[in-house]
Amino acid sequence: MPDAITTDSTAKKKGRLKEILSILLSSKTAMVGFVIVMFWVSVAVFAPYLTQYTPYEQDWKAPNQGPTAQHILGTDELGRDLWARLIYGARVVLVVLPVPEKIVLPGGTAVWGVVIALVIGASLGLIGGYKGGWIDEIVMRLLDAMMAIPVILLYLIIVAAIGASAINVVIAIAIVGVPGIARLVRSLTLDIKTREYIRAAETRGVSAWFIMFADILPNTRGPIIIDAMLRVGYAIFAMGTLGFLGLGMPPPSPDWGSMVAKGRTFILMGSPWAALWPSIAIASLVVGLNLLADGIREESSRYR
Amino acid sequence: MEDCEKTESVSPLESRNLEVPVLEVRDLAISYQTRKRMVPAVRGVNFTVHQGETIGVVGESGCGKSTIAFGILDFLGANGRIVGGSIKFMGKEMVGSSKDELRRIRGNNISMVYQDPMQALNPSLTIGTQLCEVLTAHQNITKIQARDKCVAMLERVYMPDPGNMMKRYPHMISGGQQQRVIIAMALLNNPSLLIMDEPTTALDVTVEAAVLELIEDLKQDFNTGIIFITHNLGVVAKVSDRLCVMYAGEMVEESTIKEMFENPAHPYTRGLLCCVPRLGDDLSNNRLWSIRGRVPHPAERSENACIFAPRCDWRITGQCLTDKSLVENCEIKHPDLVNITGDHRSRCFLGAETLKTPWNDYARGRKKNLMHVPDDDTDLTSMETLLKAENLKVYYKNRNQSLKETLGMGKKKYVKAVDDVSLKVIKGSTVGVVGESGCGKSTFVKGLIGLEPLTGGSTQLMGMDIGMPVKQRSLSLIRELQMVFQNPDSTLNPSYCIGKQIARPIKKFKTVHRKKVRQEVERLLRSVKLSAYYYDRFPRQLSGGEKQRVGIARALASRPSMVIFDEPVSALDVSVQAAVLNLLNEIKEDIGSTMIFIAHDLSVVRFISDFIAVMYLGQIVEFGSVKSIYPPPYHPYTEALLSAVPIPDPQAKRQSICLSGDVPSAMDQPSGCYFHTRCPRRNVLPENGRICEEKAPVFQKLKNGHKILCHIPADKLLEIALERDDKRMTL
Repeated sequence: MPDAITTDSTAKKKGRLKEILSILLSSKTAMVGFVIVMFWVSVAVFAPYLTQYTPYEQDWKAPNQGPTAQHILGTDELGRDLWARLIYGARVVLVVLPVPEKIVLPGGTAVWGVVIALVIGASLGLIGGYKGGWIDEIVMRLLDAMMAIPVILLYLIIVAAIGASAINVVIAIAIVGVPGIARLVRSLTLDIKTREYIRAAETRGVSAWFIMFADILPNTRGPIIIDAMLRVGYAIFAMGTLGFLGLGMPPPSPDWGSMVAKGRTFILMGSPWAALWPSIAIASLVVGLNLLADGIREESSRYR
Repeated sequence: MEDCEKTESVSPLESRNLEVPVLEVRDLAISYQTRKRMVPAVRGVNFTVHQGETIGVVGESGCGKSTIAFGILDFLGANGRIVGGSIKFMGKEMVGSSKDELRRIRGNNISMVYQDPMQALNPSLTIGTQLCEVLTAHQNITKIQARDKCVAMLERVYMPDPGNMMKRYPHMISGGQQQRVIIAMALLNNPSLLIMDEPTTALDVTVEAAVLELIEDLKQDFNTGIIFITHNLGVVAKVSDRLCVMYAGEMVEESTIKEMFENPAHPYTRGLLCCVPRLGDDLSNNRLWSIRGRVPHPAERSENACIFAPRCDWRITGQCLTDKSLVENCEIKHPDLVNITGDHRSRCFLGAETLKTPWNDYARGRKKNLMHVPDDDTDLTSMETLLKAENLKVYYKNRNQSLKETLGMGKKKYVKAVDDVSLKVIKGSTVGVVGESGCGKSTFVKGLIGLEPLTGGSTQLMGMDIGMPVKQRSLSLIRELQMVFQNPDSTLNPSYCIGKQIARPIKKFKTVHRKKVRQEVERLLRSVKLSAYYYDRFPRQLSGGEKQRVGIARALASRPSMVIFDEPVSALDVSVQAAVLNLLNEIKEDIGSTMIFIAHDLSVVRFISDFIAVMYLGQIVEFGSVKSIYPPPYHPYTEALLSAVPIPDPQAKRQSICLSGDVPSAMDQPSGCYFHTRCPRRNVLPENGRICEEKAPVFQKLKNGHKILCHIPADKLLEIALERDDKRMTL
């Protein structure tokens, strides 16, 4: 009997994967987005093998160069290889989170920020939506107050207050993301809590926490996943902005935003490359994530 | 039966052959594009609609009834397409014509009435605006003329005060009135063809009866061809001239309504007819005929076999067949529509062979022991009570956002959803609770189970007080009272597999040892007639009936002493409903559990209950054992409910008592007897029932625990009921 179960569950997992794959394959939008995102992810993962340079190596003989055989994307004002800086920059955003003392966590700054925002936002949304009453009022009004502050200002305030480092950027992204996610989860909860299986659980005397996290939360995953993808895109954009304003990763680490900031002074001097590549990187990654999220959302609701 | 073959009767439509039919559908096939491939939804549909004729289309859900309607209207959506056959409207071919041409042909000649009236009306426009728009959009007509026409049409559909009605918004009128407005709207342009897609499904029985009466009445005046789509054989028997039976996207049988109900030929049609619980049945029947299996998904329908073969008892058991060779082809060849008699076609290899067996001869199950209440025991004191509710009240505070109200100066208003209900549930019995929607049935049981806080009164289960919300009850009390819900689509959590959902209450209430949970789940699955491999399935892979079974298994998992069923079968198809009802009766016999069963249909509760409580506006107006509820005397409301149940027999003379008006708001109930505003019987009392308006009635206690809440003496009620001479009622 146990054998039968395991084969059954693996078959089910295969079925799931197949379904997701068929959604990707049948939507051109999602496929384009997926290819762009996967390009940056794989480049970031294999960064050490894709270039002979490190992002910090300076070549005094060749500053501000265009693409050449030696430096495929050119060099910046200190002669650092732009390709190396670009892909190591992607690494910080998407793949590794450098916490102090040389320990790195898997998952990039943007991803961690969104995950933390998800955990906090979803909990607040669930509690507000399910409990209702004054708890809901207090939580939602506080979050409304946060939403009233322009996003970019909020980032600036937080990073300026706690200082610029990878961890602090994660914290900023998380705090800014919470109100939106809480709102989304709350509205989904308000709908789901009227369903009869929630009533059935209540008639069994199941505790409110269990209902919230075991009965309601799993059923909100579809919209949440889509929203999280979009949010990673916004977070990357926000990181670029912070970097540009000098509040991102501390130099000399390869940060896309600060690369654009440094490179922009040389645009009119005939070497736009240092500003161009990171701009393209940010734009393409954000667009890619948006396309992927939109495509999946559209495709999964099509044949209902 | 033998002379069926001989009567090569002249088609009654022969005289019409010269006239161009309104609609002629030949070999229609419609497919939907899905992610993988084209899936056929409808194939092989043939029918003709003549002027003034009504064609009924029946079948279970998922059989392609609505798809036909949308095909005719070209509303198939982005992924639907007509892939074959022809649709001729007034002699003009519509398949293959351009969109513009179609619009011109159809123009205002085809109208449609949809199932849900609230969704078909625009909530932000007045009824008058919406009605007039129909006329001014298609015709050159002044606003005043249009208005006059609309008022006349509203009058025609028996709307009270039509002039005033024009100024109202859809939410200000009731569901039945909304459907009348929709019908009026559909008829305004005097269409040649009217398509009605389940026009009465969303309505209460009493309202349904009135709307059907209206349709029948209009049919004679307007000479319109009507396609009437429904799943209810009783409804179709009343309004149609001809009947098409759809199964899994195919037309399996077609004939005149009379022939269809007298000599149904196709095994599916016969099955459908047998599934319906009837008021006329013997009370001791407790099994319904049910069709095995379920309607196959469009993607699983075989091209070269009879689609009904996997469910067909004639093929599988060879029931009543002398010549077994007739069913040889069922699984290898696809049957065609064949003529059985002059005007009767069936898609079955057996053809007229089935007619040799009378269709209503199916065995309907074992006898059950009807509960017997002693003659003089008016309060059921001689029997063991399991649950007792006394003067139960559930009120909702009406929230008014006005300034006066916020300052606490206004008068507090309450919606009295349940108003002073007392009920005793005898151990091992089933109490059926019936009433129109909005009469407080659901709120009553939610108050019992603790999902709604009680405003007043007391409830006791086995002598223990259960007057508090479920959160304050002890675990041992919670497990004794469980509930099964109405909507199969939302009764199960879509994120967990079936097994886990049933296992949860088992683990919570520790009914079995931790290691034996899986065995227990499988036992429960078996007890609701599902095999053990359903353990790993997810709710979306199950059909409605299967989901409802899982819901029942989950409620039984804590081994409760009492289960409440909140309309468990009203969202299911007839054949599935029959199977679920049989299952419930079996469970009742096996484990002897006590049940409260809510339904809006008196024919369903009769089949499963020992006692019945009829509710109206938050009150129980009649209570008694089945033996005393169904024969007269009745409470006037019960009588109206009984007479409104549609009968699947076109010959039967319906004597429905139409209730005037709608259920009054539960916020300000009428004075005196709550029912006096709609009561058709109050005129038998002196001064046209003045006492009904002034004084609230008290229960008249009759024999066998039968109680009626009415001013009219029981003897008089008996007399009036017998005068009506409805055969179904006097058993």
